[in-house]
Amino acid sequence: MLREREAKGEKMNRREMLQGIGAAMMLSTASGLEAQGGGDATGVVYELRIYHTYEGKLEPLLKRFREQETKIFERLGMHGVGYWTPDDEPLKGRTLVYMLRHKSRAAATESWAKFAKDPEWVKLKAESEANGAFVEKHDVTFMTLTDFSPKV
Amino acid sequence: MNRREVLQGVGAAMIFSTMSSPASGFEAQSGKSDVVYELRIYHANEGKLDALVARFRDHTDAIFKRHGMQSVAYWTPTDEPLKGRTLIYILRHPSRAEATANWKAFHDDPEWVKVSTASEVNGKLVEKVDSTYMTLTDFSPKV
Repeated sequence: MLREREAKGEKMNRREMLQGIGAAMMLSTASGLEAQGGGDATGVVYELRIYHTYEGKLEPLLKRFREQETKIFERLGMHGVGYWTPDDEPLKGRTLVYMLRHKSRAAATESWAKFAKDPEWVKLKAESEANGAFVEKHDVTFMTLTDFSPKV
Repeated sequence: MNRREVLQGVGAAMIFSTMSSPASGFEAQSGKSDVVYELRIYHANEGKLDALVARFRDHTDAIFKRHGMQSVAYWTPTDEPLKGRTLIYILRHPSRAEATANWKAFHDDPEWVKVSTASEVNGKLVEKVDSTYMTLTDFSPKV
């Protein structure tokens, strides 16, 4: 499925490159998504996740994401758009904000179900949280791009 | 890093500048990025989301660009309780100081003053705005 989608995106890029190499290079991500139909028709959903960590647990959480967790996401078809940490109080030093892109809402549900049972994740979570859980509360918001939005 | 490596780095940055995001460009120039991202969540007044989205589509986004505020993306939530009453977007600013200056220039912009006044003759569109300034983590893709 992923390969098929990438192949379509590549085909689109080649066509655009005939029209203008510079434009095709800059639009590579956008055209890949638009090739699927654009906007809501693609079924693509974005998931904004905000993790509120326990005291002193942001650093180990970031380490876990940096070293393994983001790679597990990608392996299971969950594409990381961006990972941020807030600069100001009261969120500074205790919050991770990130965004995932899924092929569809159904794919998101399926990917998270696979993630929860993934042997690498189960082991990683148990080991990393041996001295206590990292995340006190997390906020999840599923979203779709507006019709005027840049593609991400 | 010696001068030659720096020059090679700059050359590489120039080559990649058309392919990668502005964030990478800033990093290549300054060594460490000052770029900040601003997550903004607008809670619209009852029945005002469509008008708010139209204002962003037709005017606000263009005015942002004029003042160096780069929109990463705009979204609307798909589920209750935020569905139909919320707009979420992320801006990228060259630095925090420029974000402050850009917002001031935006608020003073004659087009914005005119557009915001005209769009709210029948009442305010936005009840509450949450703004969170953020920095990309060292393991994040560039956006």
